[in-house]
Amino acid sequence: MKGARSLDQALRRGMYATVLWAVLTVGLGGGLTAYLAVHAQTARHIDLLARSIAYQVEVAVAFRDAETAREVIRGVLGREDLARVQLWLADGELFAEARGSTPSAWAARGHAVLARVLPLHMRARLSPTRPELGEVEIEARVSALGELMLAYLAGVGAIMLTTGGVAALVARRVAREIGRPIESLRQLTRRIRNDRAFDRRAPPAGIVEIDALSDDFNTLLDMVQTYEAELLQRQHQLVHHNEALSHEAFHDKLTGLFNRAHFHAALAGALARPVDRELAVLFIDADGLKQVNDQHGHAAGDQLLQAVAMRLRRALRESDVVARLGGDEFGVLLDPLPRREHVAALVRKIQEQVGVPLVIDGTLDVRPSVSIGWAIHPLDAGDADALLQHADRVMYENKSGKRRQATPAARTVPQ
Amino acid sequence: MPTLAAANEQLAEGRISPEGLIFSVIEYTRWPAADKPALLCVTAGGARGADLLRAMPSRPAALRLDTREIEANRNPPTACDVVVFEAWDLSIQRQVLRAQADRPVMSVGFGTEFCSDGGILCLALPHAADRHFEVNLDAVARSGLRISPRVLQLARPPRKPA
Repeated sequence: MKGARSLDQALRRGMYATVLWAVLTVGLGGGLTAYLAVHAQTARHIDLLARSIAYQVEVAVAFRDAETAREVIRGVLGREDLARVQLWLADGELFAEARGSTPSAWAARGHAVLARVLPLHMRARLSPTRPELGEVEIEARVSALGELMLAYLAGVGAIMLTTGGVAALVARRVAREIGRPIESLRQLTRRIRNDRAFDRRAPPAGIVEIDALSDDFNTLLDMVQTYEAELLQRQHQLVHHNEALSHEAFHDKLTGLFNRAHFHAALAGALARPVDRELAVLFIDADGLKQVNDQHGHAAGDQLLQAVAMRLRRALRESDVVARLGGDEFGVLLDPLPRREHVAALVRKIQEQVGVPLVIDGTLDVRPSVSIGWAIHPLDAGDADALLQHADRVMYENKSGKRRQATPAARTVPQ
Repeated sequence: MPTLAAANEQLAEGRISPEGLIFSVIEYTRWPAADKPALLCVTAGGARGADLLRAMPSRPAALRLDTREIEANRNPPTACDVVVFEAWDLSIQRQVLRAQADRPVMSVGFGTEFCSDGGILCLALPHAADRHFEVNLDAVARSGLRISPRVLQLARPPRKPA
């Protein structure tokens, strides 16, 4: 983002601007005040000094005692930080003079500058009553004033530095106070986005505006969380529904076995795989169902079918597909078929297990039996229809054989 | 152009005349009755007195002063505030000085002995090399005159010949 500043930078800029403005205002105002004060003080001081010198030398000049006058002004020069004291007679003649040591070039330059802005030079009458006596002229040394000015500038500089430092510290602290909750809010947002952890909430920050933002954010999170939960629930329902539908689509309602559609699909799937082994299809018909239905009602017939289905399922491997193809017909897909001889053994096992006597509703004693036909792929047929037809045909042959033996499939328990 | 030191030396040496000195002392002296001009009485016939009278116009502008000539060796009139003794008989001079010692009269004479005799302001003799002056502080105290202490500070005994 071009031109975007961090919170810290923005705050620090603001603080520095404020400090600069304040210090400049105070510095300039203070400087002006100090200048006026120093000017007034200097003027008063030098005036008093000139008058004091005049008082001390007045009589000496009146008596033309230059020696005494010189002694006096030399003493004053040494005590009072003056560069020069001169006593002038009324006719413009120099009566006595005292000068301080020659100032350094630097001090002379400073003096030249300060003399322009401060009253360093003063001329006063020697006598308040005798103007014709002459005048005293003095020139103040600049060192003390220069030191004062330097001290003032140094003070302003120190104040600027200190205030700037304090401003920076305060700005950093404020930035931390504001920035930390914002940063944590940002991290929270990122975590929620990455982990989809909508149950997290922004902690209170202690700053009203940010807390309001956090509250809004948390409210939004509440909404998202609720919405998400609803979505999940609906999705679960859909999945469940879908599973139920799927179960219904591929299972037989009465027996719980697979239905014809699934059996055909499974068979087609098995046949579609590369032929590296054999598989077998059994076609099984429950004997005597019509008889039970006619004599004892469909409920009894249904119970018979359920029992047969359960026994078939138990007789077979978990991996074998057992399906009710419709009416009293069942289909079994043995895939893989390790050995062809197993088929005959399996058929015998099925017939044995199915044939265990069964009591329906506590009154009807039935001895279920099934007719089984089979086909082996690729030995007996190449495609699904042909396999089923083959197995069907074998089953009918077996059933016909059984009828000829006139073995009843069920009989009524005597009342 | 003379050097500063040389110029100061020139300035230092005797720039003030005896007349100027007397006028200045009078100026820095207060009489008990100060509301009228002081009366300066000079001995008639004296050279210094004549100089003083001649120098009257050049006296300090603020100095109100009247003059009168008096006879030597005679009691000066009581109106005199300043009496310049010149060429008096020493014993009479001593007598007169003693007589007016308690009155506010400034007696002006020449030579150190004048102060020993009870005079107040003693100027250097005409032939003296340096133009110093002396003030007899005891006499000043007795007379009731108030001479500015700044003037008294300038007064000093004659320099001893080396």
